[in-house]
Amino acid sequence: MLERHSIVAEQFEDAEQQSAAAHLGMWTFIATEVLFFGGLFLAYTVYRHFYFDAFAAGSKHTDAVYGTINSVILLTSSFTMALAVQFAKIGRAKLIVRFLLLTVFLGAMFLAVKGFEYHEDIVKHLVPGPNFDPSLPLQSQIFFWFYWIMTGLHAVHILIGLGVLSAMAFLARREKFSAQYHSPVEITGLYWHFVDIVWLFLYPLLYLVQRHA
Amino acid sequence: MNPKNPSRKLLAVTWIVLLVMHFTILGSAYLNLAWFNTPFIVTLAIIQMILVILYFMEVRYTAKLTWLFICAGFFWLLIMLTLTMNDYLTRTWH
Repeated sequence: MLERHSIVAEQFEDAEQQSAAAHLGMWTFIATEVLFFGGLFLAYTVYRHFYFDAFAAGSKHTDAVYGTINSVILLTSSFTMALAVQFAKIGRAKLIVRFLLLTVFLGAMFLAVKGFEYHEDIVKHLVPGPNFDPSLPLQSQIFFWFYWIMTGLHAVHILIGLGVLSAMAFLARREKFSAQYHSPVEITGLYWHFVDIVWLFLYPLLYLVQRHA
Repeated sequence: MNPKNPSRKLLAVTWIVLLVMHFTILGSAYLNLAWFNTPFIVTLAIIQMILVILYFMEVRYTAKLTWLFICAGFFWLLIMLTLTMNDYLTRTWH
């Protein structure tokens, strides 16, 4: 099985070119994701410009503790993912599996914390609509639309990542990767790090608006 | 270790720097820096992003063609943000 994967596909001159093509393809996909989330960040920026006070009031009602814990979890998961890639490059199957599963565990922790946070948000009437917290300005509902949509889409990306990471761990366990063939692990890593990057911006823009006031 | 790879030590240092920057962002949000709060926080977030791209995503060691694709993605984002905000920010100008 390993031999089959080791063979360079006929359209490539060598393994290095094949790997470079895979990376380029993934980066092209990530560029489309940058614009996908970019549209949301742009819409957020426009409405924040118009309704800054309502956005600040809404942001203060988010729980920065949950957000901070999740940031630490996600940054750590990026580190474990980067280590999994390093071990994939030297063909250490057991260590690849170990660090991929650690990344999966941290990703699942992120979703669990998000779940607790969502529950608390619902109890505190922070879902836009007729039951929205009446003590907040009306336009804070716009802030919370962005909060739910952006964190929700990000959580969907995490969920997809967990599926792909699990598949990679399964394949690594069956010794499908080697020092010569490990592009799938690297490509999965690129996706996971991108999801981390999105959170690096979601965190300050959703949780930390005007906290000092 | 292949010289085209970041060492495990470098990855660990990157992780620690990212965490330190993260708590700097958190702390600065509770300080009154007047108009400077948001620019400061966003600048730190951009630096965090660059560190993740360069070392965790290993772009520092990748082909120049890949750099071109990455820069193109962010360039289009910059166009979208700049042109749109150029409109909204100047609507009240007389």
